[in-house]
Amino acid sequence: MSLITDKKTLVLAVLGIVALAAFPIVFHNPYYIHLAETILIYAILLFGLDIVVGYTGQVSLGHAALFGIGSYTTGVLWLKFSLPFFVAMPASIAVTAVFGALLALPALRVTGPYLAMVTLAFGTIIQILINEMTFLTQGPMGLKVSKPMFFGHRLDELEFYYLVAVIMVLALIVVHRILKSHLGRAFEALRDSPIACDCMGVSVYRYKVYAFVISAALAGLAGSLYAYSEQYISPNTYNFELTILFLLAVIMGGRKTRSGALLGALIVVMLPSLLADIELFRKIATIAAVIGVVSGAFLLLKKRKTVRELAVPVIATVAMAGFSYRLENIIDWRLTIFGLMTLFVVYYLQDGIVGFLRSAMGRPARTVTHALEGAAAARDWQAAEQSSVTNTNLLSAKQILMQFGGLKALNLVDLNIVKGSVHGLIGPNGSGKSTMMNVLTGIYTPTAGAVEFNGKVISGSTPSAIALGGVARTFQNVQLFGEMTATENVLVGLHNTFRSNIVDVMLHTPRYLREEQDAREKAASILHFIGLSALAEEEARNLPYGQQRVLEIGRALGLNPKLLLLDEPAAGLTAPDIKELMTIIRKIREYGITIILIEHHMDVVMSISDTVTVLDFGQKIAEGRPAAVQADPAVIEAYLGGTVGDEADGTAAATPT
Amino acid sequence: MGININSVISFTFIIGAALGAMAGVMVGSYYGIAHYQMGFLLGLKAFSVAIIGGLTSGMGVIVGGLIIGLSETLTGYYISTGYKEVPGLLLLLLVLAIKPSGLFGKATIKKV
Repeated sequence: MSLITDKKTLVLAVLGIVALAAFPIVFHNPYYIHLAETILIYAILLFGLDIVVGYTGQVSLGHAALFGIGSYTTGVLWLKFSLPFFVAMPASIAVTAVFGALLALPALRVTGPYLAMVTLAFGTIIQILINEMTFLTQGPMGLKVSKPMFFGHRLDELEFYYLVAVIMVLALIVVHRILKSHLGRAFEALRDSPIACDCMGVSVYRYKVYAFVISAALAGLAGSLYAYSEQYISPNTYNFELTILFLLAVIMGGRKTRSGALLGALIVVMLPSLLADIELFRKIATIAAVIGVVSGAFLLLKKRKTVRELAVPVIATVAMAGFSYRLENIIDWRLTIFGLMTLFVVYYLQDGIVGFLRSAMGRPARTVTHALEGAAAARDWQAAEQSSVTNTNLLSAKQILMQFGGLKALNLVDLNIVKGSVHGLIGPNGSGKSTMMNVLTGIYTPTAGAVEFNGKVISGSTPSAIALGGVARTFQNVQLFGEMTATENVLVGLHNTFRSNIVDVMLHTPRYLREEQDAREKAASILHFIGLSALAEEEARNLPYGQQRVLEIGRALGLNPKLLLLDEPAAGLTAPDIKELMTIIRKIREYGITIILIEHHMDVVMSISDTVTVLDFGQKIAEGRPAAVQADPAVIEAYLGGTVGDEADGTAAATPT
Repeated sequence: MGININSVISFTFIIGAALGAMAGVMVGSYYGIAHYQMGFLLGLKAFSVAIIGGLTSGMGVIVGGLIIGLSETLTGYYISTGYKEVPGLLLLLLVLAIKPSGLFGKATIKKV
């Protein structure tokens, strides 16, 4: 990160710590101190929930249950064995992490609403178990827990507040470090495109489990602290409403930010008390209306939104303020108001309050500084030494049969790829080219036949194992990690260069710092190689289409592949873009990387391929030098349906619409 | 193809809501009580039934319903009424972890 952002973060961090430390000195009231404590505890849980919801993009309605497991582990250990804090708290973390891993198992198979139901079922089971296992948990009666003791001294409310504050800051640092590392990038990558993630050698399976385990561990920590803070826990606390509240806090505060989690915690803890006081509510509603009108006018002036888009939210905030002065009794309306606010935030501020503030203030000027850094690191990317032996087969597919129901997408196809060559794979739409690609990269397991790569059978391995073995690919429909920057996309490709584990990341050991530095330099050189240095810090989804395609190639190069599979790289590109693409492909080939090229643009395929294979209806109908294949009557028939045309006709007809 | 998507989607919701209401009337008159939160656990159970049986299969729903109903009653009888929801929900988790398409559902092939 650049110096400026670092300084800003440092100032904010110091201010935050001072505020935490000064809070009890300013507010002596134990009630307020307890509220602050609760906010900090919730924030710890929300950091974890954000990993699952914000980063990996999964839904979890089971976090209240995980919170409960943390609390009850501490509660039971204290009640039955009188174990001290420094045993009970780690035990809570460990036990909850195990449950997190259990919860991850169904999450590996299902997503979206199914996952929501799975986590909800998990939560319901846990609540029933806590309620019914009276011998352990005392059931509905609940448990009493005393504040932790250190060296014979029992902490009072104030001391415990400081303990929670210190733990929260530590949790914040640890979570931040994890999310900024290769682990965090893996989480984000599997959200944006699980398949691409697997094909970059980042096992979706493994990283989903990691995300749930880390998230659960934080929930366990928060649960344990909560038990000490409340000094009394009962099953009813950890119900469905709490889990919804947690989700709301993440969405309202803003996902993918730590400040959002803190803000979310503040809102969900404070809001019920705020809504109890009508005078305060009127003031807040008025302020909200003013903010609504001002920011509406601001956005209108900057021409980022139209009047129609802004009408509803601005009117809603003003109406809410008007409504607040007509109210006589706020208690009856509390839930309704809370619900309306939630609806408003979810509908209009999908990036949460922090996200809204960021976009309203405009992006920080980091784009410029980083572009310069990229230019400074203009050392050109170098592929690792490839063996210079050519004319041997790098990959050979033998008698591949791929059957979907009754359809034979590939019918006993042989494919031999010579080391160091560019191998074109062409054929009309639906001829089985992309199926072949998916078989070679392990996304499909062939019904019969075997794929050998570099002397080893790879069919039947997982996509990530095949990718790590040196087979990289791009996708016909671009599968970039949209919310990540170009640099981060390439860094996911470079994931395989990291040997650091989670402890290295948490402690920022020299090994991790060195690996991160190396990876960033390498990413900069790859971006330079593909000509995207200037856009290094732009989010991938904002790049023009042609550059997205090139970025996919760059990401694949991060794997340092021996074999690169390009699935229609020129599709939808303009003529100048295609020219640039061909230069890049030629350069890659000069490094000794073998390439398989699927393409409909005949001029592209014919001019750079050494060998061309033609598929039609799942069968290989021709193979050989480009010129020979082009003259083959069977090929001409497949493309033109029997008409014998000259080369120009073939080119025109073969271009897809 | 000239089919109004919005009206078809609305229609499926209408059928779903009508069937839900029918079940609600029966449950309400059986227990002799109606309550604003009565649907929550019931909805979760209905979902478990659909998943266990398989979403695209009518037969699956009947078998799934039988499995959940029996497991609930038997657990309530032999172990404790407090635990009666647990086996059904565990089964839901198990089915989704092992065969997400359900006992009678068809698996779909993912495309790239």
